[in-house]
Amino acid sequence: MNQVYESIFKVVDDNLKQAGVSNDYKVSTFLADIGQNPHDIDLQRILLLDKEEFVEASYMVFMKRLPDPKELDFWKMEQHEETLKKRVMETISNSPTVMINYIHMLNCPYEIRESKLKQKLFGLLYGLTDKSYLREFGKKMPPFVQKLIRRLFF
Amino acid sequence: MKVYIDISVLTLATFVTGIQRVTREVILYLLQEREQDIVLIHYHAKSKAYRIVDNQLFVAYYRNHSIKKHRMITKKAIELKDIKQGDVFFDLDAAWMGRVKRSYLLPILKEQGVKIIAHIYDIISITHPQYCLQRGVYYFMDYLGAHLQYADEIIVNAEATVSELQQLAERCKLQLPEISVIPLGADFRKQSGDLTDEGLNQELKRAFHNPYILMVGTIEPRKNHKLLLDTFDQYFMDLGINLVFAGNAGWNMDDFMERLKSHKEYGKRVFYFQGIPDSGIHLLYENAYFLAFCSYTEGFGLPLIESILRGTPVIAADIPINREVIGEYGLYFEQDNPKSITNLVQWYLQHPEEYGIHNESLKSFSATTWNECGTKMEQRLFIKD
Repeated sequence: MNQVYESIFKVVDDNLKQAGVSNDYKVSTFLADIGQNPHDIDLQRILLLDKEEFVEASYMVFMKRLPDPKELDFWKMEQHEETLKKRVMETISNSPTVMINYIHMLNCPYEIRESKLKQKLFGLLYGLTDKSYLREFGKKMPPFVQKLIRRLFF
Repeated sequence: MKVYIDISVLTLATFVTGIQRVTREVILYLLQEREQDIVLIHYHAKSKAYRIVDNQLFVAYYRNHSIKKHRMITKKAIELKDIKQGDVFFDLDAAWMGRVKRSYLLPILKEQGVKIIAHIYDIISITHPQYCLQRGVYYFMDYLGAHLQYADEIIVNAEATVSELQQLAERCKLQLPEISVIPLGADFRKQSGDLTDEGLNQELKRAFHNPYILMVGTIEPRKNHKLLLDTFDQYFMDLGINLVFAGNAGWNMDDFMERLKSHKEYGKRVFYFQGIPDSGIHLLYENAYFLAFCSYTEGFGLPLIESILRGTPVIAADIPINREVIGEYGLYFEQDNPKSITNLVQWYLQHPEEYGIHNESLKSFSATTWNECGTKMEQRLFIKD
């Protein structure tokens, strides 16, 4: 199954190269994201990735964005692979974005502390994402506010 | 048998252009003809399920704007298992931008015996990813990859897209499902030429002072607005031609927008209009000397048809899709070549009688209507296997 997705990724990658544009995404990230349930993300494939790929794939699959350079630098400081993976998962599972969108982890080998109250409170914000008039209002905000909104709610 | 259409992206969109406009028109037609058989669904993450959209309220919103948009989404949930063998799942909206990945959804529907039909507008994200937002390309790869494997049928709008899909399938060593070509309609609801905004009216009048070349649509790299501005700087200054750009500024266009707005002729001979009402767009089309269509690539290019239907001649880059959509009714220039555009424009300026003859010939152009497009889609959706 993944062969088709991999081939399409390769076509896009080749076309970007030919146009002199670099690809922001790695094939491993893309493949780790294939077939994921919108709410219950299976960590099996993601956990198999090496450190750098793991960080990128985790951000993309859970938060629909790549880590920014500051976040990448921060995670690079963590040398121990298992500790890194656990800390990334802990950070992601407690991020407002993941809570607002009711996203959970499947097959997580780590014991992760989650604040149920925080989850519930952020979950209440979901209603803000589901109305086009609120989106229209958001679009009238200054660019930095829009960026923040996009980052928070994806 | 029911036809399910996921409109989660349309319902949350803050604008109705491009794909949203097509989705709206096709659904309005289908609801008019087969209301009982159409189930519109919207994904609701909080309940982790789709919710049914009220068909009549959909019509009330999109035809008459008589209700608030979010009211059309009911609280009635529908689970994937409720979509059964014999039903059709019609992927018409820009669903790759939605929450539910097709690589997740389609295998489940397929397993349940649901017939899957995809409307693929174009595959520009794959063939020309350099002109697209990479995040959008990332999502589209998932969407297309899933449909190439699980769709029972694909609907496209042009033969050029069939050919691109065939090339892609060959590279991916895939057997394509059945493909139907259904051109899009172009008879959007008539817009009045009256413009109530006096300020805008005055601005438009300044643009109309000289013959002008118009470009309509989102300002994005693929549309190649730069070519027209380059041509203006190199050649049009001396020809007495104005330029008018109308559309929202899209991604990766900061440099162009800065160049445009700081142009020494900005507001005098080079104009940019953003967010103007349909009646303003209508006036711009009607008064233009030419509509320019400089895109490197296109899925269909509705502005070409809309321009010709309004009697405004089109100069377009000589690419297969433009020839397929408007054929001999278009005037073509070599892609990315300012001199080639200039020669074309200059010739018609010097031969007004030929310009008149060409304009006259546009009257015989016949475009597909939304009723025709909708009828063909309906036939594909309700065909008995």
